[in-house]
Amino acid sequence: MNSLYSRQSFLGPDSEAMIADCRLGIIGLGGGGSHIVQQAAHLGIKHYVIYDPQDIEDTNLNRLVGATLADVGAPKTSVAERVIFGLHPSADIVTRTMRWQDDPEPYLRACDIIIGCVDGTQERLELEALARRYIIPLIDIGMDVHVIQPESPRMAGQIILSMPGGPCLKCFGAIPEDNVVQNAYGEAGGRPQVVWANGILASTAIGMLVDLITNWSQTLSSLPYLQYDGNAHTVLPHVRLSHMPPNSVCPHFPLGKVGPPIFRNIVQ
Amino acid sequence: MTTRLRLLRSLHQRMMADLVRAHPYARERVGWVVGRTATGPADNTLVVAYDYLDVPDDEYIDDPRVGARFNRNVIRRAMQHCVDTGDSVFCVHFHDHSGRPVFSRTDHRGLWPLVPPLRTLAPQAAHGLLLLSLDEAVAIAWPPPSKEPMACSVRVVGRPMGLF
Ligand SMILES: [Zn+2]
Repeated sequence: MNSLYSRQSFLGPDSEAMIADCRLGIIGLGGGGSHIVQQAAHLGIKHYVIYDPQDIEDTNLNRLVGATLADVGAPKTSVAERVIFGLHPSADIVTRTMRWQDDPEPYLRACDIIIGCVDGTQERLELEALARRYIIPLIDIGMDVHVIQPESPRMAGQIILSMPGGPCLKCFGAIPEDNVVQNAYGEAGGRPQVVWANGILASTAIGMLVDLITNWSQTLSSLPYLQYDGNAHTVLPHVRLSHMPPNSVCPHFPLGKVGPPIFRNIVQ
Repeated sequence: MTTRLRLLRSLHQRMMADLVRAHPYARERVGWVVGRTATGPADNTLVVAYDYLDVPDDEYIDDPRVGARFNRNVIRRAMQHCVDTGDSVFCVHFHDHSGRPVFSRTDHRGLWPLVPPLRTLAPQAAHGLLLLSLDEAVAIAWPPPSKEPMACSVRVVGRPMGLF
């Protein structure tokens, strides 16, 4: 084992190779995604597909880890690359400074795991549809702050593992069944995001990823839908899980419908 | 990037459950794993498996010289699947040990010739051979339009993941 990873050797004798061999897709490199990048690189992941269309603004610096004042105006992808290459000079990074929906193929389908750090419900649905088509586990993270006057703001977040063959975001109730789409999180002033909550969500997602790859904890029947209560500082199994039937089959993504989309001419 | 064959752990378990069973006379069992090919550059081809076609006991031929010999129905079924769907077909068998399995010379001689007819019938899809051990897997694939086989990594998707 490489001495870089001696402190995580308890993950298993093959863990270093398995982690290095994993290709991770990261969608969104803002508050959540920048933590994901940082931890994945420290962990030893060497293959990446990263997407983010945005440049860094000064309002991002309260949470975008790895970014400095000098990065304002640069693409968020450039900070992610710097963090990864700083730990793995020969890392294999597919960098797409664009919306992933504008050019997902063939990059995303090559990923072994995708972590989605995206804002809108519609985008989460679309990303999950792609992941299911190529049977890729998707870990979805996000946070939200609600203000209901006169109470103090309520900060909440979620970490969901959408595993092909298992319950999807709709099955979990994380996205409304009726497709009534809210396009952005947040009600407390311009998409509220804070560094510590992003860090907790991202750390938990990376913990799920490590367990998926190495099975070190031997608790993989554990719960794939966690809720973060930012006011109480807790991460707990989501209450919706207790209402789900065990071994429920997802009706939204039939297992036979996998592979690339088929386009047919519509004959008038 | 490499050619990849990705399958759910539940499908892997179904294959294993079938392939590990002792046969009245054949020393090894075979089956077909079928999937959809996402083509790209030859080194970035993905096959997403969706089903397993097993081989009934009476379609094996009693031949002590090789691990598994089977009658024409077995091959015909795979070819028919190619014709009907245009999809990928991989011949899969199992070596009874843990660790990384290796295709034997008999595997090469007996199984390799199964692939060219599949490529003719479903030329847009990747075809190949998959070999399982108790805890690992290896595969070779002929991605379109390559004439030469190439190493194909195997991704078993489930809890835990298998990255081979
Ligand atoms: Zn579902």
